[in-house]
Amino acid sequence: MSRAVAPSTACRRHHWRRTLYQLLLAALLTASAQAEVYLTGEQFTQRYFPEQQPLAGQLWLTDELKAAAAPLLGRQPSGLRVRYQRSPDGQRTAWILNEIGKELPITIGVVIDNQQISAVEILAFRESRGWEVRFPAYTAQYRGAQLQQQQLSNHIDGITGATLSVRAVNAVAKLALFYAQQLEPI
Amino acid sequence: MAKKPLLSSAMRWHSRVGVALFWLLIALSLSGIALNHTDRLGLAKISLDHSLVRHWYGLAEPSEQPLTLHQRHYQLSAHRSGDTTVGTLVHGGQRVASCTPPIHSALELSNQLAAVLCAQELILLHRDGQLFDIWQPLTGLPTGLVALEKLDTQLIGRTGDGRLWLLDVEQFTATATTATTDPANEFVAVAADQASSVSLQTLLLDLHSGRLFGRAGIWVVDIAGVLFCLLALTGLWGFIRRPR
Repeated sequence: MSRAVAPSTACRRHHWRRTLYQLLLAALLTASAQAEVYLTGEQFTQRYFPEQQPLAGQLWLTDELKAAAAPLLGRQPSGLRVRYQRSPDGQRTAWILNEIGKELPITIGVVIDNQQISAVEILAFRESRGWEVRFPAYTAQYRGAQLQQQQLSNHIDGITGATLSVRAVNAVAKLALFYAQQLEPI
Repeated sequence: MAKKPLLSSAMRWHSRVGVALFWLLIALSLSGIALNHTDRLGLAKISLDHSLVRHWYGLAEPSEQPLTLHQRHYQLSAHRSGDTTVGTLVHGGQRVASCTPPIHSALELSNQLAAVLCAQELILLHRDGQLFDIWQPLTGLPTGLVALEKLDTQLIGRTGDGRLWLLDVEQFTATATTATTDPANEFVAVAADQASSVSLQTLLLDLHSGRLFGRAGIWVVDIAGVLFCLLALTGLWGFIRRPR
């Protein structure tokens, strides 16, 4: 009797173990597949313009503007226009910019209130290392930062192992502040 | 029957495992030393264009025909970095924009603008060869686009399952449409260059981790790691218990 039960119990155990492994594998694969985009552009807009639909605008990057922005990035920004969103009263602007960390672009959202950063969000991270820059503990350091003599007024602590990502976020924060300064008041 | 001393048996296995792992240890040590000096040696900049390497990584052979828009030639330069393929659209030797391979489609949108549809982004190019703007899925580009078509002055994107999207490149908005394009108006699909290569850094990293030989390679390196620990322990044991 006991001999008849033992193989079936072992078989059931084996089946459960296999199911558990499959579930774990599926969870890991799902997590890694979804890890890239943390926030879509629409979610970013809804988060920082919850009450009113922002106005869409575009800043044309002239040669003069690119040359003036070059020291902030370490090279001239690419593209001929930058799209942004602005609150109807013109006080708040939001910028979604891409900057390469090591090899792949990091998509970074910067919200600026009265020429001061009020939020930095990592919308998408594509590199294999340096993703720690998306943590709120890191991005909170940019809150209140202004552009002073081409530098951020806040001291930003780096992250070990994420030097290039930190550099990219710093550059984008400065660039967004610079772009915001170029806008005509409403 | 006399029992073999445990230590001498362990030392015999120590030497056997050591001999078996000799070449692996040399390869791991040398690749590790080189990777520690990646920047100084410029390993990321050394491109391995050999067809054998491309074949091993499953990358396309470079084609002779570049992408031509507004009489300007563009090339897609791609290389593997870890598990990701990094692509860059290049014009006149200068980087224009990141472009995830492959290029699905490209067309001249007007006499000023051209559009290039990469796997994960739509790149807008000015007729002078400069990047105009990039539209990505997270800023509203429909996912799954595989072709661009033109209806009068409007840009239409077609997904793999045949859905059509009217793409407003001014406002970056997409609207589902049933409009069918007039084949006479289409100005589509230029073959793109897939100049693909792998950097020496990637090759060494993949060799060091075992990824170069797929999942089996990773297991071999994992098992070797455990065996190296055992070698260290048996070596230490042998040193402590050696006859004095």
